[in-house]
Formats: sequence, structure tokens, C-alpha cells
Amino acid sequence: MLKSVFLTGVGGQGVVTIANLLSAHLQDSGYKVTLIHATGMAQRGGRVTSEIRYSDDRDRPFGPRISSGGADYIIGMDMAETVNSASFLKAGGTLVFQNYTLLPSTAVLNKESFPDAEEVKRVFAPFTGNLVEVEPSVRPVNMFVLGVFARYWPEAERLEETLSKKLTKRVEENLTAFHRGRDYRTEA
Amino acid sequence: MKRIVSGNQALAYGALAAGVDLVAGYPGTPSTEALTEIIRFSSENENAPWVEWSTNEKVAFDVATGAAWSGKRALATMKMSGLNVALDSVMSVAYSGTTGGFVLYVADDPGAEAGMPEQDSRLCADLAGLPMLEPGNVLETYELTQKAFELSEKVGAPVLLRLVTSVSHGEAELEADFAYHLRETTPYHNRDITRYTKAGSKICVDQHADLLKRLDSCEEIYESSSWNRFEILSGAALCVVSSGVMNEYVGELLPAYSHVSSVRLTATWPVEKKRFLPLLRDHESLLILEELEPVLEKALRSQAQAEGLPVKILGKMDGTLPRTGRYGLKDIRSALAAASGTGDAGPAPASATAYRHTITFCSGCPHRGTYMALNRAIKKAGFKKKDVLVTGDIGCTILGMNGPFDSCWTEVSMGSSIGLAQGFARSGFDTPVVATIGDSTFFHAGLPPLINAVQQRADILVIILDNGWTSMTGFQVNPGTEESLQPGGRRRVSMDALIQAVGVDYFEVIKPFDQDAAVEALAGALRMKGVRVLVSREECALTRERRKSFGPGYSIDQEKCTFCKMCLRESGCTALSPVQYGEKTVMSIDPDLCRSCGLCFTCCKFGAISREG
Repeated sequence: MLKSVFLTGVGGQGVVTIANLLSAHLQDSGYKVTLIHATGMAQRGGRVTSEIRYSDDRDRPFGPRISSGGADYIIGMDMAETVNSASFLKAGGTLVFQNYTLLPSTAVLNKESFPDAEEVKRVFAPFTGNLVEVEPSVRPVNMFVLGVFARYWPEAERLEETLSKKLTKRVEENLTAFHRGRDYRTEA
Repeated sequence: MKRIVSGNQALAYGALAAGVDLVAGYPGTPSTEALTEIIRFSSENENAPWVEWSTNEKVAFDVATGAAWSGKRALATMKMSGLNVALDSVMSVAYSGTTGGFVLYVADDPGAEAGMPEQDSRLCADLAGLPMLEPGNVLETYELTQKAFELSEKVGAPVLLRLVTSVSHGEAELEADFAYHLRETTPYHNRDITRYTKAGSKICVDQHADLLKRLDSCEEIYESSSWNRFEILSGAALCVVSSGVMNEYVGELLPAYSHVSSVRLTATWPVEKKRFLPLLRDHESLLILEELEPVLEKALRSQAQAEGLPVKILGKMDGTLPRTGRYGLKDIRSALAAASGTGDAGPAPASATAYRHTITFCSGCPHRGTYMALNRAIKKAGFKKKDVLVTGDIGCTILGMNGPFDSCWTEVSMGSSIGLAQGFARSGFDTPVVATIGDSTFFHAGLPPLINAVQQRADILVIILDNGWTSMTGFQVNPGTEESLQPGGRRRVSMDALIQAVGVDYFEVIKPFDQDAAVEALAGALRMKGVRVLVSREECALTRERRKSFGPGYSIDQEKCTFCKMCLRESGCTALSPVQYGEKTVMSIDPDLCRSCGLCFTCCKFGAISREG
């Protein structure tokens, strides 16, 4: 098998952190993994993406980038970037998205419209298997969303062990948010 | 030992494993982290090579050349734009060759994820007549970096090592010792002006002939290595030829196709004509998979033409593949389907609206204060913003091009804002022309155009936004960084003394968070004639944050806020956002994001913004 997870958001939301954790977890679980972050403008309010591809066949060659229709899972931390990433999701794939949009100052001033949760669902519903909306109720929210994602991700077994091992700062707080995510009630 | 590393880090550890003696570079996405990793290594290990961020890429390349011409192993690192800066020296050194192993790492960026042109630096291998290696993944990068030093010594030529963003930023597991393998060598340089100077046509033409001989000698070395994998199936009609990261996608997709030959290259220049000949003869068609320019395609087309072979070449030039952008699996899948007449191009991508997160300055960024002051000063000096042309430059300072500042009109190349402004000013506009440039960019290439401005009696205002670091690429040290923050006892170069020594007509240092004084100074300078230079100085908020806290932040009294949005309209600060307050909408400041710069405070006419504590 060869699978892909596409993560997106804006700078400061911890997209890179959870992508690194997922990659480390897959690595520890014996998969062949590639990971690439695109964070060029992250600190300046810009789009962030992380692409993870993994295979249980360690000899299998594969490229590092996810193509359109190539992601089995999308984790979206910002709804504008989630909608922008719709073409990456495989038909029948899983979307876990946070109900949050960072409004750039220019959007507020020019009254540009940015997507809400209804818009995300409208775009994804026709081809998405699991469409999971997460209200950002627990902080740090990236660990909370990761917890929700873990419920839909078959490779999540022993993910907590990876987290305990790899997290260096605010470990208790992060693990608590992750557990809250795991217990989060969603309508699938 | 196993570690997850990026291509850039793998390159760094490859160079360390090869016992590199000197590393010099200039930051540039997506190449930066190679040198950063060697700096990190040298800060943690006593046994480490000399490593420096040089003033610019040409300086870095020259410094590296000196070491290579002493018989040492040298590595120069840069992005493609930097290669252009260094090219004058690269061409010259290519003619002279090298004695020590000399590797020039250049990173290209198909898809322009980091901005700047979609330049294909493989053309520089052709232009300069240098061998080029192109690893396609982390492991290949680690191994080929070591091989590149050996190749360089064997052939006697600098070797170009090219990564694209997908490889340099791509991470995977690497098993290595992550150690420095110091080679004990004595420096030597045999004085030989026929080799190490360019004075005289005979010297240069002879060097040209030597260069071609060196290039020819590569082919045999490539053939005896495993760098280029020729998997030719007898009777196959189609052969797929790919290089670098494209090899990974071919490896992923090709097993679904039966009876297709493949060639996967990592030693891409010069092209192995001898090994390609039977392949051009024995296949009906070749599909060439390469991002950016049709370099390989042209070489193979011309070889087929020269040999009078009817083989069909599919690639960019016949429209099988797109001419621009980074290739994804999708492009390669469609090309394979078209070339083989079998397989599935896959589903058409779902379309969606594109929402754009306009990029802007970080909260607390001093550049925000400078552009706010410039906008205010233009008004105060009696000009209209639409009449004052501002040439921007490379780095964080260019973010003044976006709203709500809308300040910069142009961006060309490192240091170009100051020269460009002189040309605009000589074209007859009757309003001031302003150039904005950052500190690292000024040191890199801003000084020669400033000297020109003084000598030619130009009429421009230059604003140097000096935050003390090369921030856009990840906070590298530069000549202007505080001396106490320079690594290993290195020195600070005084920008102010340099500028005044050039003899500018007016010089002043302003503080971007002291808006009143900054506006006053800028308005005055806008009205003056001659070469005026204002240095707007305040440390980068993100580097400062690593050492000291900003103290209590600002907040908005929601009773007093009228939601006039002036704070947002003038500062565009990312910490500001609208919230509901009872019946009304008001502005609020995110306490987690506020870095206490106080710029929003200078915008509020209703006294609603104040500092906490």
C-alpha cells in the first residue's frame, strides 16, 4: 500500500508540528515515509502545507509530492486553505477540518468573502468519504485536531507513544488536548 | 544511526562525510538549510570545517575557490538567483579548473514556491561546461555529495550539484554516522599563470580546450558508475528518460506498464551520448521527463538528428508535457499514458475557488513602522501616494508591496532597487523616487549602485530597513548583525560609516516605532534633492523575541472602539481582528500575537488603544 496525508493551514497553527509527529510515528512503525513542508511565507500569515506519503513496502519507490486526487486524508487547520486544497483529496477520502479562518487584514478592509464551514462541506461533500468538522474548543488546537484525526486513521495505533517520546514542550497539555480530540463527538 | 533529514541536511552531512574543509554560501530558499546544518554541526563539534555566510554568492564562490585552489575540499551553496550573481567567477573558474574537490550546490525551484524566476540552472552546466549531478532523494543526496568531491578531483573541474525544492526540502530517513571525516592535507598552490589568470587570448583559448577535455572525460566516469541507470528491454517500443526527483515518480508509476525501457539519470551533464546511441536506435519513441527547460530533450533531439535516426522524441517541445511549473504525479501519469497509448491519465482535478492569504509583516515587525511612516510622510510632504514611485528589493522588505501599505512598485534582484530608482529619477518624473532595501540586501549588492548614485549626482531617497538579520530566509547573521551576536568572535561592519564614507548628500538614522520623528525625517528627506539615505533601524521582532520578552501588550477598550478600522487600515497588523461586542462589531488585539510595538496605538483617534499593565 501507498498512502498520503495532506496537511494545510496558515503560519502559527502548528501544521508543521503535527506533520512532523505523524512522520516520526510512521517511521517508528516501520513504514517508508517522505515528508515535505511548504512554509515559505508561514511567519507572514501565508499558506502552509505538509505532504506525507508512506508505504509498508520499504523498497517501493515513490515521489515526495501529492498530486491532485492523491491524498487519502486532508487535515485542514484553516478553512480558506482547506477549500484551496480540495482538489488534492481522493474520491472517498477523509477530511478533518477546523472551523476557523484567519482573515487577512486586506480581506477585512476590502470585505472579501472567506469560506465558512458550510462552504467547506458544500465543496467536499460530493466526493468525500468522511467529512469531519472540528470546533476549536481545546488548546493547543493542533493537538486537538490531531486527536480527532487519529480516530479516522488506521495507522494511529500507538500514536500516543510517539507523542510522549517526541514532544519536548508542554507535554501534559499537548497530550490532554490530543486525548480530548480522541474523545471528541463528531457526526461522521 | 538513523535520522529524519531533509535533502539540504543530507547534503550537509554528505559534505561533512567527504571531509569538506571550507563551506561558504549566501542564504536563499530552497538552499539555505544545507549551510545552516553545517553551522549547527560546527557549533556543537570542535572538529568541523570553516563555515561562513558570505556577503553575497560571488564572494562565497570566490572564497570557496581559494580553498579549492589550495588543494582543499570546498563547498559553495546558493539558490539559482545567487548562481547568477556568482556566474562571472563561475565561468572563469570553470576555465581554470580546480585541484581540490570543489562542489557548487545550487537549488532550483520549479513552481516558484519561494518566488523568483523558474530558472533552470542545468543551463549553467552547459554554459560553463561543468559536470552536474542531480540527486532525486535524501539518500542519493548524501551519497552523491560525497561522490561530487571525488568527481571534481578526478576530472579537475568544479562540480555543480543541483537539487530542486522537492528534494532539498523533502525529508526522509537517512542512515549515516552524521560525523565529520577530516582529511589531513597540506595546502599547496603551484603558481601557474596559464591556468589561474585570464590575461592573454592564448591563455583563455587554451583553457577553453582544456575545459572541453575535462567535460569529455566525465562520460567514461559516469558509464563506470551506477549514477545513471539504463534499463533497456529488448523489443520495447518506448523508453522513458528521467532525471533527479522525476526518477522517483517514474519508479512509482512504471511497474504498471509492461515492456517499457527506462533511463534514470542523476549525472545529468554532460549527457552520456555513447550510452544513449543504441537506445535512440532501438526504440520507436523516447519520453523525456524533466522539469523546467527541455535541456535533456534538446540534447537527445540533436543527437538523433546528427545520427539520422527517426526516433520520436516526446517531451516539452511537442506539447506532451507542460512548459512551466513543477511536475506532479499527475503530469507524469498523463504523459506516460499518452506516450504508451495505455494506462489511465487519472480523474480530472476537482475545481475550487482560490482564496488568497495575503502575506504581510509579522506582528511587531519594524518594517511595518517604516512603511506606515513612509505613507504618512508622503502625505505630510504634500505628495500623493500614487505619484511617489517606490522601488522595492529582495527580502522581507518587499512585503511593503501588499496592502494596506501598497508601497513598493517593483522588485527585480538583490540590490537593484537603488539602481532602478536612479533610472526612474532620470526619466522626468517631477515627484520623488524612493528605493527601499533591507540590511543584508544592501550589503549584498546595494553598495555599488549607491556609489553610482553619488558619483552621478542622482536624485533619490534610499531607505534602508535595517533589522540586523537576514530574516526572510530564516534569520541568518550578516555583516551588520550586532557584534555580540556574531558567531565565533566575528566582527560587525558599520553600515552607517560605509554610507557616510560614500559621500551621500544627506544621512540620518530613524526609529520605525517612533512614528512622529520617523514621519518628520522622511517628509523632510522626500522634499530634499540629491542622494538621501535614511536608515530605519530596529531589530527583527522574531530574533529579538528569542532573547527578551516584549513586556505587556496593547489592548482595545471595546466601549471606546467605533470600528473605524483605522488601526487595521494603516498598520495591517496580524494581531488585529474584528470581534462581536454586544450589539456592535469592534476591533480587538490577540494578546498571544501582540509584540507591543505600539504602531496601532498611533492610528487610533478615539483613545481606545492602550498598553496593559
